[in-house]
Amino acid sequence: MKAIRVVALWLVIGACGGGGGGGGGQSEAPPPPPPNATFELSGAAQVNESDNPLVEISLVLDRPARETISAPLTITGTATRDYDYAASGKNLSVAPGETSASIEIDIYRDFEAEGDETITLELGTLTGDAVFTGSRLLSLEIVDGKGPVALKSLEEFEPDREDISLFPAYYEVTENSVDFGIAVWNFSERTTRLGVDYSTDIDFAENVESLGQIDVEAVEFDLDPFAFPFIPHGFSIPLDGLRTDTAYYIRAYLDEPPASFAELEADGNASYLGFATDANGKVRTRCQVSERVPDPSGDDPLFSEQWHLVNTGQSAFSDSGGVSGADLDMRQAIDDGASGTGVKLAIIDTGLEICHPDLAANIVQGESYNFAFANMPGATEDDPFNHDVMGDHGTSVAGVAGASAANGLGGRGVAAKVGLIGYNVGFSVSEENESDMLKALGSSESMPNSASVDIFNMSWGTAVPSGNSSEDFVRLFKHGTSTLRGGLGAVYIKAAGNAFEECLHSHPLNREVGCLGSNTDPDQNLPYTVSIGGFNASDRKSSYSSAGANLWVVAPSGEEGQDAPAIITTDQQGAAIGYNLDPRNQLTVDHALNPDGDYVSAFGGTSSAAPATAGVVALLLEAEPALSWRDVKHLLAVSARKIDPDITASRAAFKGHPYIAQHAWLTNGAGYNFHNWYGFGAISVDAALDLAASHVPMSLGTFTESDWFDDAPAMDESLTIPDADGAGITRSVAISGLPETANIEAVVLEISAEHIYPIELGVTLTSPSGMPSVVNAPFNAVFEGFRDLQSWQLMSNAFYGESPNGDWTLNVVDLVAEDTGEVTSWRLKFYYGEHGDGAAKP
Amino acid sequence: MHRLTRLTLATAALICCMTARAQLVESLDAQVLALPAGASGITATSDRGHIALDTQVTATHRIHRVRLGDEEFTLQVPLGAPPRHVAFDPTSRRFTRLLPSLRIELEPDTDLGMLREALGATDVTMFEPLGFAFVALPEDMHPLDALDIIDSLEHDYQATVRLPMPAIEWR
Repeated sequence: MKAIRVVALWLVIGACGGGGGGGGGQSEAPPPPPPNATFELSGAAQVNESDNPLVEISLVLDRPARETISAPLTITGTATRDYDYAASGKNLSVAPGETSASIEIDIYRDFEAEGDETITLELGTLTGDAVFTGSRLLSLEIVDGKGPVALKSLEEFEPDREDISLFPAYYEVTENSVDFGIAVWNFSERTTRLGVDYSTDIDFAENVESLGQIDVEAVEFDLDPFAFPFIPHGFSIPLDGLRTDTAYYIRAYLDEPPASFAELEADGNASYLGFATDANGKVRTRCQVSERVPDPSGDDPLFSEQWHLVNTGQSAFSDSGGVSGADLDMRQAIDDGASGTGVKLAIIDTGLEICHPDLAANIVQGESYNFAFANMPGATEDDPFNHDVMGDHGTSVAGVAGASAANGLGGRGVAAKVGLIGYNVGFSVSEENESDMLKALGSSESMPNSASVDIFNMSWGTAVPSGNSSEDFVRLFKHGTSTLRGGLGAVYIKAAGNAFEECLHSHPLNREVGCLGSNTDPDQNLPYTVSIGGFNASDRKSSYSSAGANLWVVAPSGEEGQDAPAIITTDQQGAAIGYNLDPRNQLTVDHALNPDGDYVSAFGGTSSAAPATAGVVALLLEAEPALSWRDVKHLLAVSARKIDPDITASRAAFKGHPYIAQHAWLTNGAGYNFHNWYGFGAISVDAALDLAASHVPMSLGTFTESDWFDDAPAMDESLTIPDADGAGITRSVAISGLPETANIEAVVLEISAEHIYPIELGVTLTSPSGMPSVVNAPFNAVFEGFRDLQSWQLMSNAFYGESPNGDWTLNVVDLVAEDTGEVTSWRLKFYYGEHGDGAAKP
Repeated sequence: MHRLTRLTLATAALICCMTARAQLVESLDAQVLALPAGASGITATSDRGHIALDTQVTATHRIHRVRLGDEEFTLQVPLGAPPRHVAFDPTSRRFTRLLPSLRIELEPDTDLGMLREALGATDVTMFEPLGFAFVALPEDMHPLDALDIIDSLEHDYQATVRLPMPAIEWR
């Protein structure tokens, strides 16, 4: 049915008499007639339940009421009130002087197969001075939405029987060979064939050498192939006879080889590695300087396409442009020459090309570290070179933060003179990754001297997010934030994750709240790391950017670079090397602005949002070196821009009880805006720098970690969670004893629950001010195939600045029928300061 | 500070020889059941409930079956696989590995030199500002055996087995 909109026309009848003057004495004006009243429905008479519509029902007058005019409302129909919908009132009453009164009908999206339903609204007799015209009956037809959503039970949770995949298990360089292993998971019911070739041609159309084909039999499914990968099939390429100064590509595939490299995306059963030889025919394991001819103007030729710095709607070599202003808001900073000078930024990543022509000037000499150098012939300790030629993540990350400006080459970084340091933890051959990580993140004073670093960029996360941060890392971050930078604390910037769309079995709500929650990645539920989500060139969340209450802010990360802009940044040097070969990259070597292949336009992920933020932090520390790590976080939060302001809440009803799986933007009791997609909002560099000029460093008071609050009876009793019910179980506890002047900087909820399928659980914490925060959105894909929650810690930043004292409320819902469970315990911890008058205000 | 925490096992065929028994041990962040190659027919009570282990060796694989409550978990390790110290984490309900090293909490009187010598440790990585060290074990030493050696020393060490940190991916 078409939408019918009734527009009220106001017929204003002049109170004065007719014209003409007339010289007689005053005559009494006749009283105006009573207003005419009509009964109206906003919008269409047919609505879709799945839109979760709000429908307004109104009594409308054609002129202001002279007295209260009201009428009772009778609501009937096949839909059930307070189960299928809620109505905000039972009568319509227009106050004197007003022209209308309304109630709202909230149609619940409920994922129940009910068929189409109706709501009939009948207006009763008017009281008051008005004349009713038109129909007293309105009918609303509700078109049924999606029916029950069946998530697989734990017993059913097994991979598809056709699940076959391969991945590189190791990749090593020796004096005389390149050795690598390919592991194959074959959980299918057939034998697959692994083929491995190498070539100087990325498409393997010529110069192809086969390393053999191996039949791989199927095996019974193993619950944890991550911990025990199958024995890799080993291969070796002798260096004798290879060409010098040449890139070689290695291709491993199952069954049939890809038709070309461009087919890679369409064929997940293939993987590529690569290496380059040097002038002596050895594998290149050190950065090799390439001569480049800068633009004689000195301008950065790619800058005009770098939408993340200044968005003018440019397409950034993709097929569409963005929205002007959807950027870091740093025009003034660029004009003022803000550059990050004097600040050290460590890129903890796969490597860093320290001699890249657009990075070399900013490399802090001798302070980078190659964790793999001892096992890499020709490598040196201070050159974290990545010998794989299929793209070096760290080199691209570094360019976002700190590529040079005004050198006539490529684009520029956010902080174009920040001191860059590379730590290649990603190519350490040791099993002891933890040692390398700990050394790289500030606990070491030599080999490497990470204790001298101001900002750590962590564009990575766990492959299978689960569990809390290790105590070792908690100690590390406490150490780094309390002792580095002379006690002001280093700033740890973390990519929030790219798993918004990564569900094996999705519920419709996943499209709104995401799949893998950012809060479930170890280290991201700690206040010491700053989790950064991504937004695109159209000023909306990047499609993949993970959501969660642990987000702090968002920074540009874009989309995939073909249909919509990604991030333009540095790439491994050379036309035959790096991400510029990626089929999604449209800034190829055929383009006049990238003839040497040193840049890429298809970089992205929250891996790029993190270094953009790290660059911003460098600008802040350059401007105000006395800022502590908390001052930096505070300034980013206070100055953030409210992005996507009209985004609606994600709502649905279960057993007739409405539930909010994700709130719209809310303003907390301290005046901070927060949304689980965006944290406090999009970074605004110019606003942050302006605030930094007046913010008093260290004015946030002493950073204090409370004890766990866990002694209230409500925290220790078993709480049965109602099944498939949006009301869930709710318990409140009174928190007291913390300073009255305390301002929350983070709240951590630790919760344990017994539930065979905790993916069905949503967890919301509400502060004494009434600010709710969904700390675990329902259908969090981290629980695919797992059961129970054991002392699971969930952090929320949504309460920043509020007082911790007062009543806190926990709500846990189970949104799918059949599997039931209970909360067995929960407790709260507060991180807080006391924000003084000198602190910037939201 | 406590010495290493280890739980008592109700076990059928156990404690005959070094590493030929399964044992619940504490890592820093989790309690896991260590499963040396020869261990089988074992039951234990973990924080997460009753665990039963059965290990069989076929012509091609060593197959560990762990029963936890009403669930069974199976791990097949190819016989030719590189030697790894298998464990089962009842909290995450996953098989995992024990790293070939131990974590030692550093205290003012911690004598790592003595420990290194006693274990024949191949390397010690100190994280002094963080208050702990990692001690790399000889290739043929199972972490359970290393813990036994530490228990036999006069000096108290707070030693725990180590699990691999989760694999990371670039974002």
